[in-house]
Order: sequence, then structure tokens, then C-alpha cells
Amino acid sequence: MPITNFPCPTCGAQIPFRTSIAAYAVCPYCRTMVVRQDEGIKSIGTMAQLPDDMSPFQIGAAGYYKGVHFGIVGRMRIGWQDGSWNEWFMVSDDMRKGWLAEAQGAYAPCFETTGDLDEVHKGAVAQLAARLADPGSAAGLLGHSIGLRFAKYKIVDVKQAECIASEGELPFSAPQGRKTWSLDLIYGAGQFASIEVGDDGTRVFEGSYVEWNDLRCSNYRHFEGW
Amino acid sequence: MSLKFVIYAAVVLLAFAYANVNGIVWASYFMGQGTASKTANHYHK
Amino acid sequence: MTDATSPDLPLPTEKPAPKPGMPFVKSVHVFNCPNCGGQIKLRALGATMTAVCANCGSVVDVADGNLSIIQQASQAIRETPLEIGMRGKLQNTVWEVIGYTLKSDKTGVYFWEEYLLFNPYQGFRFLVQMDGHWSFVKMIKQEFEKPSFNCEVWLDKLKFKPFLQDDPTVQYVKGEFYWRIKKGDRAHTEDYVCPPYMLSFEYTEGDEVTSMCEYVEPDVIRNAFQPPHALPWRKGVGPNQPNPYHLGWLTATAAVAFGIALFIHISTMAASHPARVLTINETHMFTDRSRDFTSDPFEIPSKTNIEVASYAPVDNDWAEYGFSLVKQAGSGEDTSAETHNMRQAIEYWHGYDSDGYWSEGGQWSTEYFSAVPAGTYRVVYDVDSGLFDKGLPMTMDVRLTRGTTPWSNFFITLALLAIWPAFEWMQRSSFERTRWSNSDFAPDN
Repeated sequence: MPITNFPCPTCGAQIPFRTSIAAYAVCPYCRTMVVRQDEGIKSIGTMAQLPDDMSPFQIGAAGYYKGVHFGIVGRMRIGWQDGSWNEWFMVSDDMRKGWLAEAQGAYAPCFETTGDLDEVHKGAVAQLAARLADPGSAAGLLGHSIGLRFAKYKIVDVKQAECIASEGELPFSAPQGRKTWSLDLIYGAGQFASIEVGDDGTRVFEGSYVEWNDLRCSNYRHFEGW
Repeated sequence: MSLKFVIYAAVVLLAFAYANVNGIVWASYFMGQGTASKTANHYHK
Repeated sequence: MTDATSPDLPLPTEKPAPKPGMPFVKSVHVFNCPNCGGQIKLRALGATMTAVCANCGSVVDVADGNLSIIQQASQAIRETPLEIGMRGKLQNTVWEVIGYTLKSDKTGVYFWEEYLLFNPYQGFRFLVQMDGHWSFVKMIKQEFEKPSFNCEVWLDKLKFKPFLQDDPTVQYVKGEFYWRIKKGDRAHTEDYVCPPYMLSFEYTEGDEVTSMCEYVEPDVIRNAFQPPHALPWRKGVGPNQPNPYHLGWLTATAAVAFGIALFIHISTMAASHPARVLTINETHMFTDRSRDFTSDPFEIPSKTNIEVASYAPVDNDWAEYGFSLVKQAGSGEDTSAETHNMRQAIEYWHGYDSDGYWSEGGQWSTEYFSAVPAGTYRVVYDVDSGLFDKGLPMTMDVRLTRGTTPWSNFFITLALLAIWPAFEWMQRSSFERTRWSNSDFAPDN
């Protein structure tokens, strides 16, 4: 797929769109956030500078998940009360959009399965989301189980997350300060799911924890001395 | 360690076979009975 | 990237080859300590939440840009066996020591060290050192059904036995950490062992971490990190230290050897031709005491043993036979004046006491002349008995048989074969006893 470039409405530099899946992008030069529309792109604000980190990934990096090749096109840096992590937006060769969660050296690629859930599971997720309307009940969800597509997952983490900054292309507008509830779930040995509850709806992602070597990454970052 | 034991077991088994072929009765030596002795008529009390 | 025609997705699928001249990203980031102004180096920027100033020991929160001090300089900088910044290759990956925690158990008597290791690609691991025993630790993302601490836990077909639960306290920190940490932090831990592994559950407020610890020999640590000073001396047995005494192959080898021994015994028995060489069946009186009798000569065709099966009709009495196997001069190959001597005591006592019927001894005795060379022999024998004291006669009944296969050799062979595995088994058990003496639980097997 060819890259489509659009001139940045603010600084005029070329903003590359590598995938048609993404509708939003951040100008790599002036950090203007743009949305793609039929006739071109429109500025919708400015994104904060991404804090530097030791992530091995970068936009343009690629790898494999369960034998399917994917490329990284965007990133959100998510902060919570006790730290932060990266959500790398990835697009696989079979045109599915997913996120590679990178937290404390653990990698969990996952793909959105919200639309694949049957009515029963959708209802359960909706109930869960409703409970989060009362922040006091969030901690009580820890250890609870919820059935998703193929298995019953256990909730192991409930965090109130906030987008600190983003870069590259994203499937939705992720302005600085975008707040969501982020739930981590596990099942069996290293099966991972994530439920994101935001003002703009609830999304379910399913995937698994993988090791760096399993990802067979290319075009990743190289660090001095490593 | 494992090889050492195999060698040890082989030596024990060889000794066992040798004793059986030559009519050697080990227990006789432990009890000091019925074994060859240079002293004639040692059997007296 | 700015060329509208460059096909960039799908991205190239070739193996990642670091392009020559590819820009390297700075791996150590430095900021100034809000307390003393000294430099604090961060090696895992982005993940690190807490860093300890190497100059003043203040614990600083680096999660956001504010650099608030969590704990004022309250601790002197200590030297540790492995220092922050040291690198070593373990399990095919180079790891850098970036954090150090000294912890104590709830009694404050036992101390151990936890080193945080970092590799920008592989993530984080830990090294735990207690009493010179090292474990390489990886957090695992695994859902467990864990009813209570005194139950076993299964993982990957390994049975983990409960070992210890504790409420450790952080006593000292240096370096950097991807979580908020300070001196005095407490947690609850539950450890399960299946050497060389230990499964460790750590519970802190609202968080639960499961780790898989694998025992590492101190030499491996020493070779990997090449520390300038000696590592702590290994004491006792580590909870997940593999037992160096193995029984599996020993018992298997011993079983095979037992089989061979049985085969040798049966073969010997099958190939042997036992033959009676002499029968003594005579009645003697007290007048025969201190007299020597000489048998008729008999032939021993080849080197063999001679079974001496003796009977004495004693009842609450005793008898004693003396035999000397004397070779006739000039017979066989060996002409030396060797004799084979044997004394057989036959006693049979029985009666009733407060415990009821008792008996001791018997009327039979079987012994062997060992390795008798070929030749012509006579047996010189004598007889004595308690019956003679009573003025009674006694009939001695003795049968000499050559070429028998006594079981005693076989059983001595089995004993000799069993000694080694038995010794190994004792050492193995002693090792396990030492291990489990440090546990909350005694093993049930």
C-alpha cells in the first residue's frame, strides 16, 4: 500500500498516512493533530511532546504475531496514577487493526474483538462498563471473571488511564487528556484481553503476552551500548 | 558419577561370577571357617 | 518517508539487520537529584518510576517531571556484591543491573537481596540472593487456581509444594525501579518449590505478582557479571536448589545389576553338578572326646566348594564338630600343606517362660569349605557333645557335597550393589531434610 502524504495545515510539512484504517495523525514536525476527510486533512489541535523512553519500538517498526506480519503506525502514551505505558497502534497484513501494549517490558499484541462478541458477552461487557460509572466500585472488579469470545478471563488490573501524548496515525482522535478506564484480563497461560471504557464507547481487545524474540521485529530502535 | 557406579557394579558382578566359577564362598571368609590355611590341624579347640 | 510512491506497508519482512550508520538512541538519561543536585542516571527511562540518588540516597519519584522526593536521604550508600550498571549474560541475554533491594523477613532475622535486571528488548528480570543461593526470576502472566497456602500448585506438569509464607519488608534500596518503592514497604509472599524452580506469589495492596524463580549456580553469576569482590558464601540448602544426589539412574543401574546377578547365580546353578563326596553317620560316646577320626579318601576333580551339612540329634543340648580337610601328598597340582578347617557348633534350646514358648538354635548347620583345589582329600574330624556329659551316646550325621551353589554369594553381591545407591539415598534425604527444615511445612513424603 502506498503512503499518502498530506501537507500539514500548520507547518506545511508532509504528514504520511501509511494506512487507510487510520483517520487521525500527528504531524511529526510540529505535532499538529489532523483528521483525514474526503477533501484533505484538517487540524484539530496540537499534541504534547512525547516523553523520551527506552521502548524498542518506533513508528515504521514491524514484526509478527501468530505468523501474521504487522507494522506499527502510531502510538499513544498512556499514564495512570502509578506510571505509564505505550499502546502501539499496529496494522496487520490482513488489514486488522490492533494494539501492541508495552508495559514494564511486557508485550501484549491484541486485536479488537468488540464486534465479534455475541449478545450475551456484549451484555456482560456493557454491565461491566456500567459499574465503572461509579469509580468507587472499580477496585471491587479485581479478580472477577468475564466471558469473552472463547474463554472466561479474570480481571487482574483496573486503571483509570489518560492519554499523555500520541504520535503517528491513530484510528480515533486521541487528544492529550483523553480519559478511559482500562481493564487488563488474563486467561490460562499468558492469554490477554483488555477492555477500554471511554466516553466514546467500550472496546474489547483480545491477544496474548509474547516475548520480544517471538515478535521477530524489524526496523526497531537500537540503543547505545546495547 | 553414573559411570563410576556402572564400573563399580561391573567389578562386583565380575567378582561374583569369578567366585561362583571357582567355588569361592565369601561367607566362609567373613566367618573364618572352611578357608585354606597353612597351619595344619588348626581346628582343635 | 515523504515520497508518495514508496511502498511502506507491508513493511519489509527480511530479518532485522541493523543498518550501518543507523542512529543509536541514548540509553542512559541523566537528571539532577532534587535533594543534593547530584546526577541520577536512568537506564530504563519510560518504565522507571522510582530512582535512588547514588550520592545522597534520596528516593525520588521520576514518574512525572516533578521529581518529588519520596524518602529523604536516610540511608548510607552500601556496596553490594553486584553493583548498579554491571552487565552479565544469563540465559543467552545480556542483562544490566539497574536496581537493588535488601529485604528482610517479618522477624527481621533473615535478609536477602533482589537485583532488578533490565534489557531494553527483553524487559525486566530479577536476581535473588539469599545465603549465597541465587535465583533468576521472571514474572509470569498466568492465571492460577490457588485455594489456600497449604495446597500444591501445578504448572506445566510440575508439582509445586508450599514452602514458606512471609511478610517481607524493604530494608534498603538503590538504583531504579519500575514501581514505587521505598524503605519500609511491606508485602505478603507465598513461595512454592519444585527444584530448580520456585513459584512466588507476591501480594501488595491491590496488586498480585506471580514470578517463576530458577536456581542459578553461584559460579554462573560470577562468570556472567565478573564482580570484583567474592560473592556471598553459599550456606545450607536453598529452597529451590536442585538436589545433587540423583537416585533415578542409580536405582535403574542397580536394578539391571541385580538382574545380571540373578542370571549369574542361576547359570552357575544350572551348570554345576553337585555330588556327594562323603557321608559320616556314626554313633559316638564320651570316650570319643578328644579323639581324631579320619575319613576314607575322596576325589575333588576340579577347584570347587564343599558344602558341609551337619545334623546332631540334640534337644536342649549342644554338639560340636571339628573338620579338617587334608589333602593327600602328591595329589592334584598343589602340594603345599594347606588344610581347610571348620568348626560347627549345633545347639538347640527351647522351653517355656513367662512370655510362653521359646526356642533357640536348631539341629542343623550348613557351612562351606571355600575354593578347594583339585586333589585327593581326607577329612579329619572330632566330635563333642553335652550328651556325653550325661553318659549318653550321640549319632553324628554329616554330608559333604562338592559343586553346590550357595545363595550367600548372591546375597552378598546384592548387598554390595545396594550399598552405593543406599549411600546416595541417605545423602539425598539429608539434603531434602536440610531444605525443608527452613520451610513452614514438613513434606508428606
